[in-house]
Amino acid sequence: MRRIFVIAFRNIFAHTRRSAILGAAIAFVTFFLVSSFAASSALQDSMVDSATTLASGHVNVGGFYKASIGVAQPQIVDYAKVEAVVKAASPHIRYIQRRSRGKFDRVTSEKTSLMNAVAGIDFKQDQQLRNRLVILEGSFDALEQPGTALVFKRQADELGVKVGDSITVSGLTARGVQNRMDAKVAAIAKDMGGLSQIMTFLPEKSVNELYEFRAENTGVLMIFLDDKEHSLEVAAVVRKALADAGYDMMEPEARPFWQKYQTVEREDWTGQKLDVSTWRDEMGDLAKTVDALDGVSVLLTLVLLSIIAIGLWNTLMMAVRERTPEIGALRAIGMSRGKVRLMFVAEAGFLALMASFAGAVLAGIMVAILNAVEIGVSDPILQFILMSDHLSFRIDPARVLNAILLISVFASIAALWPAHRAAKIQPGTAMSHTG
Amino acid sequence: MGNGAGDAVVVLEAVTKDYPLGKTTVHAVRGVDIRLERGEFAVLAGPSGSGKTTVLNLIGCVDVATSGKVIIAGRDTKLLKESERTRLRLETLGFIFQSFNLIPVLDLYQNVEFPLLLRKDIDKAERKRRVLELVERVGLTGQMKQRPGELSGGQRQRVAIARALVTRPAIVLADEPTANLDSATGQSILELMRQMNRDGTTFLFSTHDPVVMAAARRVIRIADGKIADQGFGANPSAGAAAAHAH
Ligand SMILES: Nc1ncnc2c1ncn2[C@@H]1O[C@H](COP(=O)(O)OP(=O)(O)OP(=O)(O)O)[C@@H](O)[C@H]1O
Ligand SMILES: [Mg+2]
Repeated sequence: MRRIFVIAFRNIFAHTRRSAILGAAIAFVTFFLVSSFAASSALQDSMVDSATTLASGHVNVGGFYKASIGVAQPQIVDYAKVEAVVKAASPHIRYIQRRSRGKFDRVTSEKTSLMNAVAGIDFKQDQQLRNRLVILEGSFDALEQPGTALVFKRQADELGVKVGDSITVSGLTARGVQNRMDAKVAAIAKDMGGLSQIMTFLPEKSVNELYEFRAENTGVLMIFLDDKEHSLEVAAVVRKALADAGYDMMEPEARPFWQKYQTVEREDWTGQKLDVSTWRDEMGDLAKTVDALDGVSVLLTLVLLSIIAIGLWNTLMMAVRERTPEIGALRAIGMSRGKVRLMFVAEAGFLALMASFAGAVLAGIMVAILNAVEIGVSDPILQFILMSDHLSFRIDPARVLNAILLISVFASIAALWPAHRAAKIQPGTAMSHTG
Repeated sequence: MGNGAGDAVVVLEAVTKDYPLGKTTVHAVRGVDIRLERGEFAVLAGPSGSGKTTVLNLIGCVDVATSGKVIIAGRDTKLLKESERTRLRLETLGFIFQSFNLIPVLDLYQNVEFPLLLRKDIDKAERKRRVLELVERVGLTGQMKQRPGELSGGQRQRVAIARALVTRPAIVLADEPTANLDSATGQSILELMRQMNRDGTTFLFSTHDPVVMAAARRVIRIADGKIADQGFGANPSAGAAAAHAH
């Protein structure tokens, strides 16, 4: 019955002060929840962005080759055959990019040395890098020459190098030989979150020489999809396709590949094993941290909501007491208990809906302003965590809707008991009441 | 009128009502027989605490008798479930309260319309027709958009009368409907109810105001939870009160 909702709605505005206080509290909680969701959405975005540019495809086929039990090389032997199997596995695959994987090795300049993850890039082909990296000095084209290197700004500053300067990269081969190679810095790229602080890119050919990799082998096939949401599904399909094609597969595990060396080297197999991972797996604990962050904000929201529920409960109990004669009269003239209950629950629900909508709008405005201002972050640890050099937020409409619904439903539940009390008011109370 | 049980709107037979009060029991009503025919305009009169409100509550199905029979429009109310009593109130009874008890957030028109919205059997056009007719009859056509807070006490009670009558109840119950009004306004409300009665609505109201008693066609006297006078035949005290009032 529509009129009952009209009454509920108008009663919110009939008690301006009370509703304003409650509404403000609900709006605040929504504001908090939506803002923190926006922060974590943006964090997710930059995490995906930096992961899928620097270290991973949406899905990866990597693996290890062990000539003997104790020594593992990050190699896919005869990658062309593997690539053919992968390509046919799923229609979601847009393209596949090949990269050589080095290890954590020393990069030395005249000034200092760093331990970095070394990767070999086919700079001519690697569209992902070309599209996403911002080159501050030098150029991509210059990187097509062997014996060059791409470093990121912060590393360049630490190493004290400019374009044209030389760095030395050392690499430990499977035979246990420490090779060294001089490389000329051909490009300096803008930092891209924490990952870019620990990566150095060399031409594929140079990395293969440094580690004595064969040209028909590669480190990883990075698979890019039409939509990153398909990552898990495609990973499963690819894993199955490769297993069906006769490859030995590693168990899926949410760790970046370089953390898998030790385990693999301790296992007693030799030969080739392939490893299918998603970008989330390659982000390891960082992905879990973002999830945990979401969990914490939902938890905190529930705590805040519980406090608000108590306020709501109190206010509605007060309203029930105040409106006892009115409700008694409504019951006397034939309104059912269910409708009385509905009226109070609707009042709380409407209030929460409006207030949380307002809170969400405010959060949206704040997020828009903060994004426009681009608050920079200079602390490297914070940069590493944020995966970005500035604070950013993204409002995900679906999550905002969820937040508003969550809060409104919660408020309606808090209203159930007062509504029940209202429904139990005896119609007789209207009769003898003098007022 | 009054030939046979078919025309009785209300029949109370040996009705008692006890209220527990701490360790004791209050015998608010002690064996009451009342029979009201269609078209009556009756007053339940008696001193404070005599049981008027209790009897009205029993007839209004907002309370249940301790013993005896309460039959409203042919239905024994003791046999009804709570939801059925609610429905009986909605369809068969009309209520006018001492303190009006309108819905503050609805305007005059919406307040009168409200009971009809609780019913499924009355369509929009019929609703509008009935509401407009009653609002006109209580003389408030010009205040249709006003909320109760913007109306005087007398106007509010007129709205309440319209609301009580809009469902065309078999009987309208009013517990001291004029007690919160000054005497002139009370008179006009009474006059309005009498007019409604002439047009066919059955009324029962309680009062201890002699002016109100004088206006009644039948005065049922209650004292100490018992009927002292069924109010048939000559009613010298009502006449005296009326004479006294003028
Ligand atoms: N809910 C209740 N609990 C206990 N006692 C009650 C209750 N309702 C009424 N009584 C008692 O029953 C008796 C009759 O009360 P009732 O309200 O019916 O009288 P009344 O004639 O309407 O009086 P008044 O003219 O003051 O309104 C009184 O003694 C009253 O105290
Ligand atoms: Mg009374």
